[in-house]
Amino acid sequence: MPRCTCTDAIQRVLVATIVLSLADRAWAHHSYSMFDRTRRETLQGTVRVLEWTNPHVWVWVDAQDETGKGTTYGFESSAPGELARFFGWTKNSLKPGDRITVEYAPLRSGNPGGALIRLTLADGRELPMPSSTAPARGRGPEPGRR
Amino acid sequence: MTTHQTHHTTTFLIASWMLFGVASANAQQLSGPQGDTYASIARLPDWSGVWVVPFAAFRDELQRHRNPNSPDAPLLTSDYAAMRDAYRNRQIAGGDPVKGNPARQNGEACLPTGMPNLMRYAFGIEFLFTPGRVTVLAELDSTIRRIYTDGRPHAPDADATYTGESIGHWEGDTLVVDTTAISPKAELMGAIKTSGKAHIVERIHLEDKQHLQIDTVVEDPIALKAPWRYSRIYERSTLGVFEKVCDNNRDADDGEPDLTLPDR
Repeated sequence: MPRCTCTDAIQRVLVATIVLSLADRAWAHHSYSMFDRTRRETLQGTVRVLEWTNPHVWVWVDAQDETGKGTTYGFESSAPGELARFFGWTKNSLKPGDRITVEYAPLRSGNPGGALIRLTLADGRELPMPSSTAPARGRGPEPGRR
Repeated sequence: MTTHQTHHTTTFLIASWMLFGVASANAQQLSGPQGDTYASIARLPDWSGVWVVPFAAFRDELQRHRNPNSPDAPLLTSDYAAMRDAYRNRQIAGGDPVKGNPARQNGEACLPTGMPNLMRYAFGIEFLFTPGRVTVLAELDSTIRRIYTDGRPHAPDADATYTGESIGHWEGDTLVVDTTAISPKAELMGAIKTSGKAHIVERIHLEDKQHLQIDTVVEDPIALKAPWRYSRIYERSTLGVFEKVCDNNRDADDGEPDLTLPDR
């Protein structure tokens, strides 16, 4: 029992360290302590609005659960300057009604939202961002230009 | 004196004047004041455009600076290492682990970060040359740094500010900037403050037409056990400037962001 507990504790520390290490790469100016960055969730929905604002961009997504109940989720990303300069985003990269799939670190509170990790468009293209696997290439690849 | 002698003397004087003039010009380029008049600004290196550290380099640097085991991390004294640890614990735990130590970055409260952290991000900077002064326009927090190159010394009792008081001089094509009078509210890095005794020296020069290097030494006898040195290579960007202010700060309160729906 003690061995198991100890192993669990070590695993938790390791996971937290690795995840925080990745997270530090992505988010530099705020702590993002409200997000549980040891977890990943995925959501499909339609873009309600791209909030192209400082200090950070928010993507608002309307989604329905299996019963048909609708919920709006808020997902936080980086600064417009970073997304535009390094990852090719513009204020028009997402339009209301666009169908997207979002991978995110959920809010610890359980409220609908999280830290944006990865965003995939209906045609399979990924919008690159600091936390995604898509590489930053100068201004960024074409998927950000719509 | 014959006409011939006069001619020789005149030639010698002209040659001497030219040599002295050239030597003076060289001396002026190698050390001492430059850019003191609008005409002299034309002889300064071309630092026009927007300068940015590539994102990958920025996040690698961030990890090295945040990792206390990295040789590139600042050697913090115990009180300031406690700030770093409290901030990290807050990230893991999701709340403030230490009462009275909020472990927050200035940016979370919409406050400017100040020097030296202002210059450590992947946001753009621009340089303006005017007589007796270099001005840095930083995207982050829309901050202005005024670097006086008119030969003045530091003020004996300058008010402490987020950007500090910057006095510069040119050594050839390198601008050397000495910054003091930095507020203890300014950050070494996010959530780790300076002490009010920080002293920063930056050496700024062009590596080539597209790359600008800034070598920084931060001294702080209260926050740091040893001078913290780091170098950053900036690329000349063609994308212009992006605003970076604290406008729609939904993260202001710890624990839960403001999820009020925006207007469509």
